[in-house]
Amino acid sequence: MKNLLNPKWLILIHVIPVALLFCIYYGEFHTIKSILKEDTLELWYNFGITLFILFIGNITYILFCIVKKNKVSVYYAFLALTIYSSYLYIYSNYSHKIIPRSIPSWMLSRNTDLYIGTFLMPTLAYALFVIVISLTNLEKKHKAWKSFLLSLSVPLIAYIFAQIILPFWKPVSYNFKQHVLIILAVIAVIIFLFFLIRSIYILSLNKGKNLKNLYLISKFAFALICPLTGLGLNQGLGNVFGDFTSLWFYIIALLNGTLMCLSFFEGKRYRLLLYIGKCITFSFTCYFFIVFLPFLPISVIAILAFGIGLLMLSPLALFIIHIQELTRDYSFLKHHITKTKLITITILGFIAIPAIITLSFKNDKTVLHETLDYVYTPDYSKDYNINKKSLEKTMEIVSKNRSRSSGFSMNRQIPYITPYFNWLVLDNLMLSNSKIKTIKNIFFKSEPFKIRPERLRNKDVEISNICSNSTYNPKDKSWTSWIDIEITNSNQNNFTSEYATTIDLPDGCWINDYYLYVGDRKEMGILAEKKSAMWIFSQIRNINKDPGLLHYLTGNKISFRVFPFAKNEIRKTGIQFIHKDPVTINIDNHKLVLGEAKVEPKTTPDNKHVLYISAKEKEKLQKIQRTPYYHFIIDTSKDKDSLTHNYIKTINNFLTNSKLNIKNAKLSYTNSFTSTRNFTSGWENELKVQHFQGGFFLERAIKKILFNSYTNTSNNYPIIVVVTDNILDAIISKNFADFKFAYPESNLFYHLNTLGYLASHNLDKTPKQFINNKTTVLLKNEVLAWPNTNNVKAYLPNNNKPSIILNSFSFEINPNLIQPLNWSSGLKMQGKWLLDVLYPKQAENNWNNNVKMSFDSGIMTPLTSYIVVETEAQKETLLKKQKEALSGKKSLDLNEQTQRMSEPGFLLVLILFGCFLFFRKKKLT
Amino acid sequence: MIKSKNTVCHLFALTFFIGSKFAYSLANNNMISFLTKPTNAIISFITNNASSYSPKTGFYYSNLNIVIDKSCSGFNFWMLLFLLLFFSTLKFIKTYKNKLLLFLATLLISYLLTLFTNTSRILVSLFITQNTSLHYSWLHQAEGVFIYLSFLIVFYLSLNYLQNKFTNKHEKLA
Repeated sequence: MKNLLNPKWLILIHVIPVALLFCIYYGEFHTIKSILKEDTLELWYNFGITLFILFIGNITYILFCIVKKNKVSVYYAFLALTIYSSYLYIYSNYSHKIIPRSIPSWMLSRNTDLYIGTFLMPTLAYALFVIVISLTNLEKKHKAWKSFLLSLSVPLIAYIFAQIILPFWKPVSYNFKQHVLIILAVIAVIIFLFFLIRSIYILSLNKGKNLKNLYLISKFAFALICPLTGLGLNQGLGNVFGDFTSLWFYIIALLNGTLMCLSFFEGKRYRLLLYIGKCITFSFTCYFFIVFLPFLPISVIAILAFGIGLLMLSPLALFIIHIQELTRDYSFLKHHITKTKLITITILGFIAIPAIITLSFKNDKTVLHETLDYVYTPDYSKDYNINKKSLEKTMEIVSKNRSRSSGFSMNRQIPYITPYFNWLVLDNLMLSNSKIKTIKNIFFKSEPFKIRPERLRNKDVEISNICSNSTYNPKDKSWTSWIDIEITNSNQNNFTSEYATTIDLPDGCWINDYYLYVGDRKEMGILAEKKSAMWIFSQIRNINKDPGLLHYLTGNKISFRVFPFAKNEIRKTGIQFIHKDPVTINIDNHKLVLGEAKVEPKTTPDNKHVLYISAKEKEKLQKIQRTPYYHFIIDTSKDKDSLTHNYIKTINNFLTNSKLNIKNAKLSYTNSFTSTRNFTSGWENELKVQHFQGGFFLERAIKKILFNSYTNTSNNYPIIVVVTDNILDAIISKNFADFKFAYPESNLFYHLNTLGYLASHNLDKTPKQFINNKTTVLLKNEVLAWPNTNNVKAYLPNNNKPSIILNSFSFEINPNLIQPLNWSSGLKMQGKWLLDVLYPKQAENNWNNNVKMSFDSGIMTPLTSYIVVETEAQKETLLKKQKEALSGKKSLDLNEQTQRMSEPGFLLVLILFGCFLFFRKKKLT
Repeated sequence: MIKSKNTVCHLFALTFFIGSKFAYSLANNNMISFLTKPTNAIISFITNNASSYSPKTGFYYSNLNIVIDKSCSGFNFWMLLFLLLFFSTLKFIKTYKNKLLLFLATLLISYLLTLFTNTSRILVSLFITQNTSLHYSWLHQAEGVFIYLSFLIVFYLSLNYLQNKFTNKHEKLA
């Protein structure tokens, strides 16, 4: 251990940790700087500059020692111990001011308070080691038990002091008493640790047969018994020091302890194997040494409860023993193996466990991203295979992060490993509760996420007057129509009320403008990014100001809300629509016809990718009946394996009674994933061997069917029959109105339960609720073939309403062609939206561009909202929020084809260049 | 007595490298502009295209549809080249003062060579993208690896050659 006096150790023990500490605190400071007050900022600067000066002082001393070839002086150790202890003490007094409680916890990483102790503690421990080594003369014969007794006397004296002297002690003030007691405690801890380390050091010197035996016993105790007991006790006490419940901790502790005790033989191979093992487990010892460093000061108090105190000290003792063992093996092996090989073994061994952990986390990251892609931005044509075991672990940690426990309690995380996981896997981001629960429900069939219904006070708030005014735009051959609405609150109570309704827009009709009277002032609506607008609305709604909000729900359904209404208050508002043909808008049972059949509308000639087919044009199209086929979706979620026979019986009975040929029928076995195949004989055996696991992700199964049906235009269409005992357990987050264009025949799907009853459900509205619970399948559904029956490109619903067709499944819109008050721009954006519904993965990349196009045209899309706010401050907040959402103006211009001129991977270049150097060296020699 | 040799300098350079890599991971486009700005200026001059800068995106060339941001800065190459130059020449320097000067000099030289190499990499990539129909991300990566590796080998061999020449000259003089 004399080697510890080499000043180069200080680079590892002091320079690197403090440099890291600076980096971490710089990152934290950078995040919270803008919300810190002047005096707090001053504290940050003072502590930062002091630490920096100490850091520079240390580096100077290290360089001085190296140049002069001196060993680390005991005076340096005393000075470092005093200065850094004082620094830590003063810091702990101001820590609540340095990071005020007013700072939201999500802005900082976890355990920020513990970082400073952790990163400075190695210096303190090192200083203590240096003092012990310097003050223990090797020439003299020391007795370990004396030092051990002296160390034990410290907690004993502390106990006597607390029991006898403290009650009689009447200091001047409470603060004085507190400071004196803490300083005394710190000194006591240092003396205690000094004697304890000294006793272990004397033992490890291994002089004399008795000491040799005693050293072996202490190795057995500190390396094997204490770690295992400590892990068990920690688990028993509810993981007070961290969640070390993983079996791996016990396995490595057992292995490490065994390796420490196995030093009987002198064989070269045996010692080499031992050395490799000890190098591998050294990261484990270091980990616990670092984890328990901040707790060392309280070990004196804990030593009073003898067992626990000793267990808290075992990482320190194990650390010393491990270093001593490695040094001893190294000294032996260097006579048999080259130095380069030994150093390589040491480095590889030491990084083995961290490397395995990192690789495992990297895998978790891939799995998490794949899962998020699968659930939120799927590629319907792709088959996913997600490692559920890895996902379960990740979700467990993410859930623990959400329900973070405040303060000192660490029972939910593994110190340093959980923050590392958060950084590497989650990029320090948090998943929302709804996402966590949805993912858990899909993959592990846990409790579904329940949205708390919003309390709307909209009873007796009704339209008292409504009128419309349409203007024809000859240039664009379209109409712009204002609907002016007067709303009255007839509620007799004094609560503020709200007006909330929904409007169904026909295809080819969009909202182009909006206003709301705030007092006597007519406030025009601001077109904002949807999430920002909804966030602002909820903020304002909480403080009773005057917002109005319009946004898309699903499909073409619009939510329209005005808030607040006082008793008997009348408020005026208006919405502008842009449309090609005359349309009928129904608002709360008030039907208004907008525009007149003035010109014969034609299919837009300027855009070949998205086409608008008016109701009149549709009248000319030929009606046809496509051939239906059954597409069974069988619930193969967790615990449904007992229903296999019921499924087989029910489906066979259903098919026997059905008039439909089963030739084209299909089967989708659905749990977390959906696997589809043709309905062939022997399907019963196939069903029996399915894996019944996870939740019943019906939404994905239906969307996949609709996607395939729309993108592979054919003369057949699916009739979806869901086979499950309880459709209410199915995972459907919202209705399928966005996919309306994909089911032109009928908006119905069917639920066949295990008793054989068939119920019809509506894809457009609330899919889980049945319409008719004893029904038969409707097989005769007419659709319109476009452009003609000989060359059908799309099937349109036969409903006397206009339709929009995607003529191509891949196209880009030139943002420069998007103009304000232009119907064609609305059509292009609608086409892009339909494309995004079919290809959500692309939608993610195009989000910025699509929002920008909506802003440029003034036409509301499912990504944007019209909002009226009352004050300038609210407008400012909205625009700021929006700017955040769309930050970086130029980024709006980026698209998926934009090439990032990224550097090649660092490791790849390093490895290849390393190979070049290796072969060159080999060639030269 | 403690043997110092060059271990301290190696450790110091490695610590600097690790610290810089860590700082780089925290840096944004603004912080890394000391590398991207000159690269952008050269690219802009050679291709005769103007770019627009935003802290989030970096330098965006709308005509070329490319972005030069933190990930394209050449920082990794700079660090690699710096370590290579510093470690290769350290053995010839005796005093600590000169070693410190060497540290700064290699940092500066590697910085300038990085600008040259990184610009070459981007220009070659642009040439491939603009003149062929080969638009694969792996090709871009492969091209980057090829350019980086070629330049590293060229720099290393040139340095070796100069060192040999210098050593031989000294031996002859002696």
